[in-house]
This record gives sequence, structure tokens and C-alpha cells, in this order.
Amino acid sequence: MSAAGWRAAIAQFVTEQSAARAVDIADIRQLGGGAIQENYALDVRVRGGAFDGRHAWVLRADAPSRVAASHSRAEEFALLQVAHDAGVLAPQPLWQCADPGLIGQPFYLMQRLTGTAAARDLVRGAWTEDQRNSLAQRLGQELARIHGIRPPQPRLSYLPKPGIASARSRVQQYRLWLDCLPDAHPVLEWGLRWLDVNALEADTVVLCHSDYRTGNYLVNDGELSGILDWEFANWGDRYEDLAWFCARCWRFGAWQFEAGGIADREPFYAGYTSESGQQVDTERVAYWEVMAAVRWSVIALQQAQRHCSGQEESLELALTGRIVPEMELDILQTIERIEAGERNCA
Amino acid sequence: MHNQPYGRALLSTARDTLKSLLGVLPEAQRYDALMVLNAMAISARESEPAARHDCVVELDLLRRLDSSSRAEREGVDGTVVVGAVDVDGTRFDSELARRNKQLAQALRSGRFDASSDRAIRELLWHQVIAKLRVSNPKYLAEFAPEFSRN
Repeated sequence: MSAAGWRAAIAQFVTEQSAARAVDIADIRQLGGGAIQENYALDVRVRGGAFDGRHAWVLRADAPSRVAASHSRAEEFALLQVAHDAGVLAPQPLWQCADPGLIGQPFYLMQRLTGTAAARDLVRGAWTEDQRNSLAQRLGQELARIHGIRPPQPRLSYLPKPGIASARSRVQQYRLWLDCLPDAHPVLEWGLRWLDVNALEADTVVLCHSDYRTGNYLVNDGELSGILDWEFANWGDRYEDLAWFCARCWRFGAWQFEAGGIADREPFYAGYTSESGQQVDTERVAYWEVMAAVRWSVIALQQAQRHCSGQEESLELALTGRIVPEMELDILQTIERIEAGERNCA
Repeated sequence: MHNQPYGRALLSTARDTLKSLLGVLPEAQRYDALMVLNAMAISARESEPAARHDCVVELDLLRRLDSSSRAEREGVDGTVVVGAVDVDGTRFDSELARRNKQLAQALRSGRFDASSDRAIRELLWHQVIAKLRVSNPKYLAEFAPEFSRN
């Protein structure tokens, strides 16, 4: 069924959920980007009930091909509720529909925030130094707010139990994923072995966004306007998110700005500390940057495999397989930098 | 024997033609065209003799690492022989894949934790550099210029 064909079904659904007199879906159009889910922008007119008025919403549904370890729409909806209630700058979740009969798959509706998430545009933006620093600081603050969410959370009971040795559990996970791929990857195995032997235990278990990086937040007129893409959120080590944001693979060519290609690390860390009261331990960040490079490598290999296996022929997926050596270089260099630092301290 | 121009020259001319179209393509198709250009450039570099040579060196390093294959290594004395007897590269590629699989398992089990550290690193660095020379020489020039060929 086409998006236009859903119009009546969605209007009926919103009418019931919002106890409206009538609901008119003025426009539905597909939004770009989403290997895992499909997003549609909805312009809605609600007559009567608590939501009377015009609204800009997003409908989010599963894409035909899902990636391992991403949550279902219902789970993501619960996450958004928890994050929104904790005061995180996330889109407000509205209603979910678990019934796949309505539009072909489960979906939920949320508020549509204004701004751009396009990573390459953001890192090439003509920002002043102040704008860069204040954006990075805000991003640090929002991350700390997410990390303020701690177990237990009844609405998030579907998440795997928070284990303290989360670094080791990540190593195990990535090895299992590698075992599902046809080729051997010695550099990744070497990195995983190092991560295993040098595993760090988390000081506290927090809610990690797990894909907190440039490309997954919105900026409007130079201001942070929303944190997006919650589908990988999980209990974990705060440093997993801090390092993911700073990892070289998420700077989109703006290498000199180590915090997500938008600013130096200092304002990002300072924002984090101001909100959490927690100093950022740069050695821990370095450890988790190795983990970040391994993780993105394995995911990139999985994406390429979707192309190679014939499941989904795509030049973009195919080329993703060929970026892996960039992360492998990061792994070698970061580990050797850490080792050199340890030798200097000894 | 084919007629000139040969594959590599053809590919290069084809890339230039596609590049000249970038300006007139709509934004969405421009991104696709850039991906096509990138894929063509990677394939071209992959088919260069230097890239094949890097694979020969990789196999040599893998064999050196495997102490159980000492006799075999002495017999081969360098690796050019492999390429000569193995015209279509099937046996070469399968040995490379097999040895990488063994190495990956050994690394995971920690068998190389204490020993062979220098040899392992030499091999891993070689693998990464060789792959980047083909897939993204600009990245290599940015972060490890000492290994850059250009």
C-alpha cells in the first residue's frame, strides 16, 4: 500500500487516539535516510479534542530490512517516553500502533522537530568558534541528561539486563556478529583481543543512546533542536557514548574537530561535566574509541554483506564494506597511542 | 590480445566523462554518480600490479608467522612462484583466505598475546595499509602519510 493509501487509516487512528471530532492528513511524504526504518512527514489538522489544531508529525515504521540489535517500534516508543519524561531534547512521542494490519507494519507517531541532521552539511557549516563550542557544549549536556536515566525502568524492561562488565559483553557480541560473516578479519580480532584483555568496568550503569553522533541530532539556526535515532539505546557505560561521538569515523572529514567534526573535545566534555557533575576521564574515552571503531567496522561489514548476499543490492551498502580499513587504521593507531602513553607514565 | 585502449585507460576515460556530467545532474543523482565514481576508482586501483604485489607480500608475512609451515616457506623461497603456477589466482586467494582465518582464530584465542607481537603488528599494519591504498588513499595520506604511495 502506498503512503497516500494509508491516509484514511492513519486519520481514523489519530481520531480515536486523540478523541477528536475529525482528523485531516494534509500531506504525507517519505523522509530520507533510514536503512532500518522508514520515516514519513505528516502535516495534520485535528478538529476537536485535546490536540485541536495543526501539527507537524513524523510516522516511523520498520523498513523491509532490519539490522540486528535495533529495537522494534514499540520499544523505541517506550524509550522516547522515558527520555522525554527525563527532560531530554527528544521528539515527543504521541501514539503507537502495534497492529501491522493498519499500514502493513507497526508504527508510531511523534512530534516533528525543525532543523537539519545532515552530517556533511553540519560539519561544513560556516560556524563561528562560539557557535561550534556552544553546540558541542549543549550536546555534552544532553548526553549527560540521557545518562541520568538509570535502571530499573519498568517501561524499558525489554532491554537486556544491565551487566557491570559491559565492555566484555560488547566484545562477546561483536565476536558473535563477526562469526556470522564469511571472511576473517584479523585486525578486528586483534583489536577485540586487546579490548578483552584491557576491559574496563563501568563506574555506573546508565542509559546509553548508543548512536549519539553527528547525523543523529537536529540543529536549527545554530541551536541544538533534537536528539534522534534511539533505536540502539541500551544499558551501558557512559564512555561508550562519549567515545562514539568523538570517534574519528564520525567526523565526516572535518578531522580537526575531534568532537563529532563540529568542535574541539573540551566544550563537549565541559558540557557533559556541567550537567552530570562527572569529570571525563580521557583514558577511558580512548579505550572506548577503540571499541567504537570495532563496532562501526562490524556494522559496516554487516551492511556490505546485505549487498553481497543478494538480500539488498545497493551501491551504498557495497561501498560501506570498503570503508572498514579506515576504522582498522584507527584501531591500530589508537591502541599504539594508548600503549605509548602507558610507557611514558611507567 | 585486445585492442587499445586497454581496460585501465578505458576506465579512466569513463570516469572523466562521468565527472563532466556531475554539474548537470540533480542533487539526488549527483550523490549516486559520486558513489559510481568512487567504485570505479577503487576497482581501477585494485587491478593495478602494485595492489596484487601487496597481496603477495601479505601471504608471505602470513606464512612467516606460521611456524609450522617453515619447510614449505623454505621450499617456496619468496612468493613469486605462487603467482606463476597459479594463473587465475584461485589457489593463491584460497590460501590467503585460509591463513587469514587461522590467524583470526589464533588472535581471538590469545595465542599471540605474548609471542610474535612484532611479526603480528607488521602483518596487521601491512594489511590495513594495503587495503587503504586501494579503497581510500586520501585517508591514508591524511593519517599515515609515511605509507602513502603518492
